[in-house]
Amino acid sequence: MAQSVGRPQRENCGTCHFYGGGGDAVKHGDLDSSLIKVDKNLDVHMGSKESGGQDFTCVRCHTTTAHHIAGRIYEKPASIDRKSLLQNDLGDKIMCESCHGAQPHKAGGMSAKLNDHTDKVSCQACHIPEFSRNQPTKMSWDWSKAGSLMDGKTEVKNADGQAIFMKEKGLFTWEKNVVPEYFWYNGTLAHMTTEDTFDPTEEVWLNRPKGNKDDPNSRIMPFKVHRAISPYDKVNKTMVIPHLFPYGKDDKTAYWKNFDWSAAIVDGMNYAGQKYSGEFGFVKTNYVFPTTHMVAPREQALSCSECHSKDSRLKNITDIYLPGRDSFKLVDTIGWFAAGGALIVIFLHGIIRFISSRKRKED
Amino acid sequence: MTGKMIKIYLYSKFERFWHWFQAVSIFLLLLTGFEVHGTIKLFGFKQAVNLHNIIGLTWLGIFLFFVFWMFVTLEYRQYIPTTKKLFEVARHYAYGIFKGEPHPVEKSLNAKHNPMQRLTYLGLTAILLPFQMITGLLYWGYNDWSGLGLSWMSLEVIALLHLIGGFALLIFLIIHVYMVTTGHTLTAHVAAMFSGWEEVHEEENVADWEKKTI
Amino acid sequence: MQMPRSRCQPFHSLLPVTLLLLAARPVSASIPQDDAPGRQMAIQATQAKPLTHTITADHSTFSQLQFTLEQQKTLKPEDVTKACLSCHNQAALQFHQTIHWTWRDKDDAGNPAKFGKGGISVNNF
Repeated sequence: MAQSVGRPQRENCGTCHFYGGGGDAVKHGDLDSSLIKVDKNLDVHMGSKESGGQDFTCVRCHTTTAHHIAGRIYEKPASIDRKSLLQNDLGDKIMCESCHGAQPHKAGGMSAKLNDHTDKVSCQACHIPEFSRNQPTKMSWDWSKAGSLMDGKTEVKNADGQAIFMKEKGLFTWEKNVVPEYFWYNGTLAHMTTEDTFDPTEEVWLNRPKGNKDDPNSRIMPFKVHRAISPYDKVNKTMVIPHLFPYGKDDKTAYWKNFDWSAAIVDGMNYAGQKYSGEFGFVKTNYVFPTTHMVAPREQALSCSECHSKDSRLKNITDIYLPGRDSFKLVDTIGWFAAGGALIVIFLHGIIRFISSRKRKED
Repeated sequence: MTGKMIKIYLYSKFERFWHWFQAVSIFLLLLTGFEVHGTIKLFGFKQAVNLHNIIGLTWLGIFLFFVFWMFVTLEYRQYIPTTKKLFEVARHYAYGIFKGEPHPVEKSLNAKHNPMQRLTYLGLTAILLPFQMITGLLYWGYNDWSGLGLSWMSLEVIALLHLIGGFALLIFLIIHVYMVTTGHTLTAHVAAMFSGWEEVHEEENVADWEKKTI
Repeated sequence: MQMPRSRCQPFHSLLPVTLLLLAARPVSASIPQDDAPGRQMAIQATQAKPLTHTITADHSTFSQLQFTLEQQKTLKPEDVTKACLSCHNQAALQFHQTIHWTWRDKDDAGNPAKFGKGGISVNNF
């Protein structure tokens, strides 16, 4: 045992973090067991040396100070300063900029244009073209379908062997090579608690990236958005915390033992010390995960037109003018109308010239 | 307008180069510009931006030299606007041309352009092109705005202005290309812009305003 | 190591820039080269101090970590942890302050906040 003293390896972190949400690749689109042994194609940093990667362990970037591990994001950003490691040798190495700097691309020509983007576009936005490139991740979860059977079965699996229905949990969908959704992000997420009320007729964002276009610390960042149908308090219009996992054989309230939402919510909310009206329903909820691991080799970075086109990936980013995507309907209409008008005028002018000159010759 | 047809050397090599350089530039800038705007797909967005930048910046550099040349050679006087015979020229294109009437203003060394051309080319060279160059340069330098104290500007507005200028150039190009065919033969004017030699009626009476005034 | 030159070109230098662009810039899209400064910097940053250089102790020789075969039969994981903590006497105290222990985010005063698995924030998976 003593021989194994050393720095944490991928398995140490991955045993929990690769299996978040109840199984491999469930929770994160960019963290799953593929990273235990990985080639450069999936992750340039953790990829093996043989495949051309850097063979980094988790703690190579998630540096620590007195056991505090850099990289958690609730109300505080992973790193406050966007600065290069060269500028601060003792700083957290958690940002891309920590090692790559703020102007990582070559100077000159269109490469310089890429450097121009780093003030508003995160590295991840272009360098992680899709997430879950090796294993499918869970993209949706309908809790309201839990508690009954599907086709008489307690569990139904898809062709890949992943459960798409479980009596305990409900109905799921899994996706691979998922194009992320993009939001302004300053490194922190706003979280909803059981104390926050909402409008149940709309999708409820249980967490949301913070940031905006005018904030110098905000960048456009890729996210996995996990969409679910979750239990909530119909009267108080708040989320609820159901008691899921049974304490033991005699547990009379745990949902995964008794399949009674009402009892599970009463017990869970009671345990958390939160108010519950006693009436629950189901509401559409969204939960976002920043996509930052599994950086692809640079050859796979997005081309300009992935964003700069009518079919732009940046559908959520509506508060900026994006060349190639945005236009001015009125000016476009007037402009093409005028150009078309000019064409018609010269066409008619030419016809009359032609006919009149023919006539003159005949005369 | 009774003189016989003679050939005069109207357009110098530099002018012809300048004309065709601008023609190609405008054509390519319109193509790449409307690709950047998302209207057409041709080169790919990145290549369209790259070409648009290179052509635009190159034109800008040469344009500064051209303006210098215009003033040194006094050729700018060819563009001093006049309203004399403007109505006659307009009437010619709207009516007389169908009757086979001769053009009211004959080209000459001292007056290469008729009054309508003068107005058009002056507007183009003095207003529209500089307008496109300024808005284009600002668009190109977007990332340096904050450093230059221009943060108050809006990319959306600059792009809009540049787009309006682009449409104006497109419409000019359409009409200009058509007007080229209105010489005494369909290809007379375009041939002149290649060779430099324009065929004109020998003038007996040259109007005062058409004379080079030094 | 050279820091990348700022791209910001003052406008007054435009004419030479234009001519340079004409002369030097290939029209075809440039494929990123090996010498992209961001890559150079990252390689330099991660190779400057190999991690092995920071290790100054060989744990296999520590007497606290020597267990006889007989001891190993009844040894529990917690016993090994205790052995670690007998030298690393700040480790447990440090760890109790971390989110891995509290399962709560910290507020500005450093106290556990509402957010985290131990808090009242809600997820949907």
